[in-house]
Amino acid sequence: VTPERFKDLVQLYALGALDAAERAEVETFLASPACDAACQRALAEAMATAHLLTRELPPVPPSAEVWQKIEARLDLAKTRDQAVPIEARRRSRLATAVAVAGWVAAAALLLLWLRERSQVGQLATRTLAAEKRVRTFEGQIQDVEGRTVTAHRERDACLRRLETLETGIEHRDAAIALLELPGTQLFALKPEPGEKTQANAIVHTGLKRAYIAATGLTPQAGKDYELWVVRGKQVLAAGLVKSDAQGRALVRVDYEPLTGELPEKLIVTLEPAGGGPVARGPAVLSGTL
Amino acid sequence: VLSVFFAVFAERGGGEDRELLGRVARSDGAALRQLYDRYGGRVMAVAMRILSSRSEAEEVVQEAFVDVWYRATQFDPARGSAETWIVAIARNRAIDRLRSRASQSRIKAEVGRAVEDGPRAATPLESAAEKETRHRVEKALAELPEEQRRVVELAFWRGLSQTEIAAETGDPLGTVKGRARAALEKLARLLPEGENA
Repeated sequence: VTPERFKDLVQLYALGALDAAERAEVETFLASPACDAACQRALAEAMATAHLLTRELPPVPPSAEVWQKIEARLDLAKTRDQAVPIEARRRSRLATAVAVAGWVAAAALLLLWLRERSQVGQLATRTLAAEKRVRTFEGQIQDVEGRTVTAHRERDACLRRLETLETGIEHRDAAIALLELPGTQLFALKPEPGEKTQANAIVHTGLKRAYIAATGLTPQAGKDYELWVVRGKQVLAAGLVKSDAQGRALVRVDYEPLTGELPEKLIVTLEPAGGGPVARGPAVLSGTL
Repeated sequence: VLSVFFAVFAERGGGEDRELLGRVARSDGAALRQLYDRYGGRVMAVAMRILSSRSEAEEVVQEAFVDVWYRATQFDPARGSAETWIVAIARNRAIDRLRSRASQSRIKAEVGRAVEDGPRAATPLESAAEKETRHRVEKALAELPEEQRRVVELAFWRGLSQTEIAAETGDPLGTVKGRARAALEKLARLLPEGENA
């Protein structure tokens, strides 16, 4: 298909009126580098015009079961965890690419070995080095992929936690917005043994802003939960974490030791009311980046 | 003023839709739900128009959104809006079903039949702006000559190719092509530019 013929066919293509052979011609052209910006624009315009035909129809709400069936087919109840298969697929593709690259390198080395027998030893050494590099590379990829999956899961858990917090709507929206920003770091604060609380710290050092979102911080008479920033041997008080009657808390933290530079660890302890400059009470939560 | 409104509205909605599809590509079910809330009614209307069957149309809606889930990474905004893409997926699904129905004679029997059970009344899903667009499209289609409208009907809504349309109507192939192009050009011209965004 030449660009001229494409122009001639694109409207009929958008309308769905082309015969199979012509449709295949057009689709081959669309998938080729010859389909430049003008070609894409012509396609978009033709599709939009044909699409107008559907605007003649008023929308018809599908019954409620339709979405339920879609949800069931895609297993969307576990949608947040589906980052895993995607990552797994990506990892699999990367592993395949690395494996193919390894085999290609090995094949090339074999050919060289056949041609230049005298260089066998040298080539074998190179092969080993290349394979070692490939293995190192694979290990690094798996490491990064694993961390990405963990980070995605934690981020999703944090979002769910934020969505359940009914108090402090403005803080909640701001925290969700902060979570979406590039450069935001997420701390997963896990309960100490015997505790049932969960929390995240959302920290953006560039904006010098942080939020703590927690559940299960049951209020205790005469006591307050206090946040601590650990950096090296320093343990610095970073403010109180006030929770509601249901134990939910969403607190904005502007304290410099937390937002100025990423800490190594965060800890929440239960202190006498009002907190203090030195942690004395039992730790209920702690977590790293 | 209306054109500017439509252009701005289309651009804003388009940007949001692209973002939603990006999230769907990253397996975000909430984003798929938002797209479903936005376009489920439109997809359903298209499927009903083609299939004249509510139950089959609902199956097409399911299949279309499952396709959107798995194919979101293939969406290319340079080639059209998200809405156009989603509705086109549904239309293709519905046309495939229509073609696979028992016999060609049944398809022929349905050609030209008004879709009695296709709703025409406005629904709560439809905003005032969408209603306005619908009325303008209806007017544009009403202004097409009958033979052009019939070619559009057979191709777009019944999934017949130009050769099949020529056989159906008894017109030469060149005439069918000319009518299809003329109809689309007229349709594009009769509507504000914002609608082509």
